[in-house]
Amino acid sequence: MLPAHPYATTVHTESRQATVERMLEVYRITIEANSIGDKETVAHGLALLKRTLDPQADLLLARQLSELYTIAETASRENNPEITAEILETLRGQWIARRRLDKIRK
Amino acid sequence: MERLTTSQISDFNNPLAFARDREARVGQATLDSRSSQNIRTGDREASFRLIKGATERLETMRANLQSMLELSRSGQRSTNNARRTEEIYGKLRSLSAGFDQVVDSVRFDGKPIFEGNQLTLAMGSGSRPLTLETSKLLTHGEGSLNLSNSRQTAEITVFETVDDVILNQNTDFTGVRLAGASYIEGSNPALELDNTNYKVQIQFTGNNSAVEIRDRLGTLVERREGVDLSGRGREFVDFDSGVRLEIEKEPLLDQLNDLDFTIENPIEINSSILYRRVDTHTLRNAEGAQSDTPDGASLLFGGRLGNAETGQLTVSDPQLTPPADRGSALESGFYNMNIDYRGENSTVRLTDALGRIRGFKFGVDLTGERNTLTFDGGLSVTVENTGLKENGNLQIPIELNRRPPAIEEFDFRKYTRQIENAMEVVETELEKMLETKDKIQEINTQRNPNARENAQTAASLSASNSLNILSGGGSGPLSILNGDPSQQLSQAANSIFASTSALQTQATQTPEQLRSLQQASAANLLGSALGQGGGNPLSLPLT
Repeated sequence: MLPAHPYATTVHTESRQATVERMLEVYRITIEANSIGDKETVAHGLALLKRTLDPQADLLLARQLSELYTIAETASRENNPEITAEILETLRGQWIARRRLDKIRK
Repeated sequence: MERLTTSQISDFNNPLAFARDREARVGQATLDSRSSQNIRTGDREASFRLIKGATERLETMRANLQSMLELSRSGQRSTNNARRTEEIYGKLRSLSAGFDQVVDSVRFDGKPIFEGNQLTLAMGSGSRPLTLETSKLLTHGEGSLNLSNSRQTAEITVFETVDDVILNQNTDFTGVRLAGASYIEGSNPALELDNTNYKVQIQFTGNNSAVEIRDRLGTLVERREGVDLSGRGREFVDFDSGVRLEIEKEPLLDQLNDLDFTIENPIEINSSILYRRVDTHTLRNAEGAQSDTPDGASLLFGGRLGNAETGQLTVSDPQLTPPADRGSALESGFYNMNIDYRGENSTVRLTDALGRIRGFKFGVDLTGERNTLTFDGGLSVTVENTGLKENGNLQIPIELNRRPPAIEEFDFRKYTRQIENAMEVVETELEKMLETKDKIQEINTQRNPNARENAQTAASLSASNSLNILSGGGSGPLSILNGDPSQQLSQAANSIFASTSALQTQATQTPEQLRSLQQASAANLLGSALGQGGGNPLSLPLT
């Protein structure tokens, strides 16, 4: 077996960081859209978040997140943007905290 | 209610304040507004919650009517105090609009309950369902409480987007700009614009300019040619779609009219308009107010100066235009227009029936083939000249009909009686609901002998849940928002920090998916930026 390319590990780490950044960006766009009342983008963002959940990684968390996104979706549709904002901003904050923890552990 | 400030009074009494958004075109009735609907509940529990929620809302409506009654009585006593009358009128408008909002929010399965619908309340298997017919409790419309009038119109807001401003930077010297827009009553409803933004482009070529309305995608909606934008003043351009554009002409350069547009390209001036279909909310109760003569102006007889051989001067097409300021609007009545024809230096005088001068123009050039004279009081006429050489004098009598502001036609004494009648209807409705509620409880006790009398049965949910089911609309018996998201959030937080694979659960978006979201967001942002420029000039607190 050929030794791994010296850049392979770095590329792998970078790609994981990039996916986390992308996820946070999805949250950011959705939160911003919610704050200006752009329901279409909110629905788009939440649908994307829901669609990209990976239940194989953690079934319980995937289910909890899915439920929260449904609540956020309904709230946005029923003109309760503050509920949508609370859910998305809390989750985004938790993901950022989680990313920091992972970095510290490394 | 606290006292209103002068600016609040003026906002509350703006004709378009409290207007309701309208989806359908003018004159187009939606299916559900024409016929009564049958609303069915699925089980006894839902029936009970519906009735309980409706009862709560009826009590709110009764309290609202009580406040209106007190205000109206106070209005009867304040007829000599104009400010107080205006304040009370504004508050009554606000309260009646709020009343309609409450009525409209009482819904089951997305269908409004208090719009003359039949309720079929299921009582579970083995019991016959209860039926109940509700009254129409809206303040406007046929068979309703008759507390307000509604008219289909549109609110058109003129604004400039960033791209309009950039495009217009080099055309300021023309002094031509879109100053306002209004809806023309009675225009062809099939051509009515949609509830969205439109672009207006003025293609300035002096006295033969063109004006276009285009939609957001750039498709031409309507074009008007031969618009005279030379000189100074205001010019009104009417479109078949029911839009009247007011164009202001204040040229900075006198040489503008010397430009030869057969060689030069037209100068383009860009603006945007936001079209909003609305139903007005007006309190008007004077005798005959419903069948008033429509607004308009007409010549009692057509006069002319000169004759066809030597050239003649004729006046035609009298029209009402928005007055330059509210105070100076010409009221209904007979007017006399006197044209002292002196070619390029003519004088035009408008006097009312008592001989008072209500409009005056001197130094007017009437030698052109077609000249439009617009008076600040809101009247415009077209003067056509086929080469008249001799000086002379022409008298034209004009009849003008302009509905006075609704407040001037408002009779507080009569309105008090109308509110008292409305209160009776609401009381009857409330009694019916309470009776039905008792019946459901009785049936429930019979079917569940274990349930103690007066105890909370399974069906008797809290009032807030009952109200949720009513305002929640179509989905399910209970709104999902009744669940506490904060509890679910804390559970999710536990999982995020406990699970080693938390990030992998959600951080799986591909760059393409993110790009698609970014593009959608940018497109919607642009759309909302176009809309925000105009803004909604009136967003009033409803009490």
